[in-house]
Amino acid sequence: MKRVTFDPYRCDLCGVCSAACSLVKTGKFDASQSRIRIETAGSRVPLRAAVCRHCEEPACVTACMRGIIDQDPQTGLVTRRHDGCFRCAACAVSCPAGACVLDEALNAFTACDLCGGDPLCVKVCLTGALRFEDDAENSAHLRALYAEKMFEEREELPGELTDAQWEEICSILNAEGLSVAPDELRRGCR
Amino acid sequence: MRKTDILILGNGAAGSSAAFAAKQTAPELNVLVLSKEDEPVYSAPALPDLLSGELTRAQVTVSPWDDYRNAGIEALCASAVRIDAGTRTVILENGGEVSYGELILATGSQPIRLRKMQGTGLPGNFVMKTIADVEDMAAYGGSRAVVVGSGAIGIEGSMALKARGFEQVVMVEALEWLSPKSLDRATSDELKAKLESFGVKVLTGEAVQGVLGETKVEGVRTEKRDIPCDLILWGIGMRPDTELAKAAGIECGASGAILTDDHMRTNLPHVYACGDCTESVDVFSGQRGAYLFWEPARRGGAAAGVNAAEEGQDVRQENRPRVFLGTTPFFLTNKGGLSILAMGRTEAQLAEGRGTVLEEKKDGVYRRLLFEDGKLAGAQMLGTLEDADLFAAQIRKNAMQREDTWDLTEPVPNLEQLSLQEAVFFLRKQRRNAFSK
Repeated sequence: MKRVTFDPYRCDLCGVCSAACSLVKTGKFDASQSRIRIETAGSRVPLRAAVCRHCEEPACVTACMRGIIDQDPQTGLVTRRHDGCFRCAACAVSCPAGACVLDEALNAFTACDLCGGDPLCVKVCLTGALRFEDDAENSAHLRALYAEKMFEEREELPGELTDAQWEEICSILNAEGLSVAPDELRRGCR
Repeated sequence: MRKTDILILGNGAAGSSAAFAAKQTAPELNVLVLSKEDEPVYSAPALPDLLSGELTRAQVTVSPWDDYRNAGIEALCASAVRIDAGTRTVILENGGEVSYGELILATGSQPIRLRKMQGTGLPGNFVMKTIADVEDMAAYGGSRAVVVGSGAIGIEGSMALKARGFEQVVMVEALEWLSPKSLDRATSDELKAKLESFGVKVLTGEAVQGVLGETKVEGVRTEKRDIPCDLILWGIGMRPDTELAKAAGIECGASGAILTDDHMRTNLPHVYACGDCTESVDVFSGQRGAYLFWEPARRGGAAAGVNAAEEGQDVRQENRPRVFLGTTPFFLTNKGGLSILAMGRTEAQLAEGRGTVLEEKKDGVYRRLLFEDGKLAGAQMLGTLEDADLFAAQIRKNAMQREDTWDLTEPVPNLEQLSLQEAVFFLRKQRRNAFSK
């Protein structure tokens, strides 16, 4: 199945993915509510994207003490019924990707649902750090990448997004019915 | 005599998971679940929320009976009294018999009760293992409670009674500090302060000596004082329910729980076991024991179900046999503003002279990391779950040291000079680098 994958060598920590995610999922900019989070180690060096991997044998499904996390046997998609979540945090603690988020409005733990098969975070990622690809593509991509970058520790980051890029992201969001001005988006990404 | 392809004793987390997994693997096989309680599988870890009133009875149910019917699983409320593995028969309390092709034991565990102690048979003594226990406790009423024990039941039970409106909730722990198997003293001190901020009085180092009262519970006598109360919640531990298994000649380990291989097979042919009644490896410490947790019970149950179904069919399905490689025992509570997470070894369990402990207290959050030879061996945190996945993965890798582990962790250099946050950053970077090599 297709998953959201992350290339830390391309990420410039602009924060657009988390901002867009929280906007589409909760109606406001709030990175704490985003289903995707780019992890760092204190510096401005991206390490990994914490986002649901829709694992082959998902730990959250067996960990859920209410039995409300399921995996579609056909598509492999991990789905959640939020009603009845008693916030025991077993999913969050057992998730190897650190992908579970406590949604304040739902009053339940949740995770990335791939936006129904067309994830917004990937669409708004102009650097190409986030990709939506199947395992074979992902594997080929990673092999090429690691051949190139083997043993290299990235310390430098590319510059910030240009004004034109902020405009471009806004037009992508507008096309999704999310009306945001560039300045507003910039603030939301901080 | 009733006949079934797969017979499962027990309908808790493990038994129900086994039933659904077996039926999914081989829909043409008959699957029969026997249970002492006339309840579809419900969430035992959610019982404190049922007690507090936050969840309803329906909300603690995991799979209602309709799910069983839709899946084609039969369920029967009955007690088994004997297993005859030779003739592959289970004898029931009502005299009935069920013959099986494959048997899965998911008999669970029983709360420990101090039957010999004076007054423990009086009305007002409660445990919290079943829905019935909670309903009995709720119906009994009262406004003053003593909770004995400081494990999950003790902590969550105390919080739930407080949320239920009890004026007085006193937690009594005989040992020097709270949950000493999972927490260090410093973590316990922080936890104690949090519990007291919720109105739970915490007494440690005080063993209960008896229950006061003539016709009903009127108080608890400890080494140091008498505490008047209306009810007592006993949370002093659980023991695997293995009576049937032992009588049938099924081998048990040093922990007293049933031994299985990684396919959940016992020493007897056609007999599997899973859940609280089985012994397993704690992947955070490498130690074998009886670890009673929801997640491994479900995972082990599913493995037993798949394997038993494939055995019953005599052919391998596309579903590969599932193996169960160990328990991830998280000491976890996340309720009503109280969040506790502990995993791996405590300070007392680190090799002498080789341990380093880092701690951090900031904005109401307490974090404590335990290292042995510079490698993460344990983590305890209050008020946060951040990096739980990172710590769990590190502790597990360091504890298991399996030969096929391709990214064994390196010791953290100059650990003594680092702050906890700096050590966490090192661990995050190390994980990143492990992936890119």
